[in-house]
Amino acid sequence: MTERLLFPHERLPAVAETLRHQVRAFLREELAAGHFLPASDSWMNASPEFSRKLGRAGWLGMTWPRKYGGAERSSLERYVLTEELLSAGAPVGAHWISDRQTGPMLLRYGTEEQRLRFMPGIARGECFFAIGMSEPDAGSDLAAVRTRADRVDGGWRLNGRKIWSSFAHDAHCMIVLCRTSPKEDDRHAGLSQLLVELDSPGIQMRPILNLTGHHHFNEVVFDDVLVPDARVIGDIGGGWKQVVSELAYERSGPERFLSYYPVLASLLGPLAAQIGESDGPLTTAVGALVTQLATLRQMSLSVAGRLQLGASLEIEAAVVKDLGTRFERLLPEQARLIAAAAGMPLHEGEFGRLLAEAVLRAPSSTLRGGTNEILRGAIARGLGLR
Amino acid sequence: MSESTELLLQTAHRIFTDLSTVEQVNRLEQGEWAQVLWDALEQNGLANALLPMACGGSDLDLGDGVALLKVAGYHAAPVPLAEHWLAGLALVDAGQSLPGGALTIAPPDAASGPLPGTHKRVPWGRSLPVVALGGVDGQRRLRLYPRALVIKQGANLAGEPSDELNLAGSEFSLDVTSSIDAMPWLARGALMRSAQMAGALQRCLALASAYVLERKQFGRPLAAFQAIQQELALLAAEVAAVDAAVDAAADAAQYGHSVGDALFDIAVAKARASMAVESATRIAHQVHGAMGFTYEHRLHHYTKRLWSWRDDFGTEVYWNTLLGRKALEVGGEGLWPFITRLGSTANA
Ligand SMILES: Cc1cc2nc3c(=O)[nH]c(=O)nc-3n(C[C@H](O)[C@H](O)[C@H](O)COP(=O)(O)OP(=O)(O)OC[C@H]3O[C@@H](n4cnc5c(N)ncnc54)[C@H](O)[C@@H]3O)c2cc1C
Repeated sequence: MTERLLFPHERLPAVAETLRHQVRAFLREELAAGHFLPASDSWMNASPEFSRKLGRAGWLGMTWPRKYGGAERSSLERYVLTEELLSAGAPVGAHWISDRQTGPMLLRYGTEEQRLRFMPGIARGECFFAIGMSEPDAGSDLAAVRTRADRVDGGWRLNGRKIWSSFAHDAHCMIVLCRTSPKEDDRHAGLSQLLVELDSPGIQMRPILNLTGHHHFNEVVFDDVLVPDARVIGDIGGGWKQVVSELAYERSGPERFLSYYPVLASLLGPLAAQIGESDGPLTTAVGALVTQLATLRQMSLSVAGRLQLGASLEIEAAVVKDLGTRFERLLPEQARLIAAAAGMPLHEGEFGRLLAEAVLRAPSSTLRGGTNEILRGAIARGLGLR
Repeated sequence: MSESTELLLQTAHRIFTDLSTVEQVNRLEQGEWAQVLWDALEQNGLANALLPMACGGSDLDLGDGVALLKVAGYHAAPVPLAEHWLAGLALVDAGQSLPGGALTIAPPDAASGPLPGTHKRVPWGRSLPVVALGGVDGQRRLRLYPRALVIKQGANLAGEPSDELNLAGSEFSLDVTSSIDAMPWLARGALMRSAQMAGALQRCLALASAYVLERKQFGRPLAAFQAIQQELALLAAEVAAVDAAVDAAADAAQYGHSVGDALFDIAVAKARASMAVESATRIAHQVHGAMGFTYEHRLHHYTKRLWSWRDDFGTEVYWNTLLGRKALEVGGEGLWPFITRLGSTANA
């Protein structure tokens, strides 16, 4: 039997359940105080203030060593925090990238000076990062990036253009993937990652409105921006390997199947009022969503538990993201059909609001962080087909 | 997984590889009982593995039992291992000893009324003693019919014997009160069947991967075509999902106080397994071309079982309805706490 692609069950430790109750109590208070409105795809909503509150509670960078501002808690505890925040539709966008991937990357590849300089601020919810990978001509084919850094005395001179940079307008820094030596036969060689402070001279930023008219991502242009040697992350020329390991963190978390959960939650009350105790096809359809969600959660937990042990689970993470984001596309559509079949109003109340938001945001789900076609290519490689 | 379980699973692989051959599985479709295979399972402590030592078993815990059933499913083993375990566990629960040899069950039905009537779709009903549960919860009775009267011999889509029995007219050798309620009994069966399905799905993926690497068209192996790669990735995701759901349910059932505590975990597992069948079998067949549509190629041993098994012990509609009803009952506020209790030990 294939030993690949198994997802052994991960049982949550008692401390994680204790944390869950603390997070729920916190969220109840925040909601009661009107500090946030539950949203579909709430990691696309940024509230620096909300992020600072999480920081004060010790819930940002919570798995990191104390000397870098962390709380040395397990990744399963972080998992529980994350799933509670997302299922409640809380605005976690401001710190999302820095907490999820910047911190772990600095821990793995950063210098001591970089860690001490940036991680405590991230953990306080005061320092936010953006991802500078995509470019106009480098989307799925990320190795095609053209942004270039040339050697100068004491550092690098950066020129080029990044797009789709989520929340760069709220961020303090960006980690930029760029070419530090010309393309050779091995297209993955010669790439490096630079940590760029976004108030450096020579940077221009322009909003790119998404289809809702919302300013979520940006175009960022670098024109002779000087980046000191101390801001090189990891090895010059080692950028590709670093980016690939970063993506494993990005791909298997609960944000890959919970983004539209609030739609399902808000469906249930009005639906029960409409169909009562009946066991008809609509009840079954709700159950089918629960079944898929519960299964994805077990898969994601399994990856989280093993990532903690240092396992390399690129393919498993790709499976979770492919299956999970396809479920994300399905959920609002199914919820709409169920509501319509039950004779519920589709455009009113909490459900109507969350559904509309989900329908408009869902197309991004199977694109961001690597498209599903690319993920399936990686899975096929894992199966030994290519 | 302990070392001894690891060993047991290896033994199972070996026995099934040797004795659950294409020919043997085909002979089952002609109604032949695989005595040699069953004897080998008994001699190696696998037939009764899930039962207590006192009954000649290995006292395997449920999680390991599920792992063994996955192996059986992976080999389309032509023996009623799950049915035998269900029957044996019911007898043991009722303080009875096992009569020896393979047993089967009259498939449970959560709504099952008083004992006994005619029972349809009894696996191997023509050749094995039948254990049946009847009555109402709290006052259940367990009966053993050494040789039930067969109304009609039949077969499921996979050609496994599936007979209609007249239990009312059959003699029974045992009639005892039972503490098993109908729902946990159905759930236990659902978990076991899901495990077999997980194994059969793994095999579909293995066969499909091997076939597309070997078969060449347009001067290249099929695996070189992106359309094929994408389809197999989708298949792999379904296989992985079922495996994960089954493992989570087995773990919850094992560490809960009873199978009933893990009812909703099992509901997820059986529903997810049954839901996977349509796309998984479609993809597996599509990439095999006409070859996979022949009797000669082995693929049908797995896909036919999956098409049958998805209906056993509750379809995905049955279990999803149970989950949907629960979701509507707990409402928008309660759904998330309900979901996060799944897979943990305290979700009763
Ligand atoms: C909401 C959102 C936020 C984002 N945030 C960031 C960010 O903060 N930083 C950042 O760097 N990037 C960000 N991105 C960009 C994201 O990583 C890219 O959109 C993604 O990698 C795909 O690139 P592309 O959009 O250029 O699509 P393309 O690569 O042009 O692909 C278009 C279509 O073609 C398919 N395709 C491409 N190549 C192949 C192939 N070889 N085989 C089969 N099909 C193929 C794709 O799957 C897709 O369906 C964000 C994107 C979104 C939607």
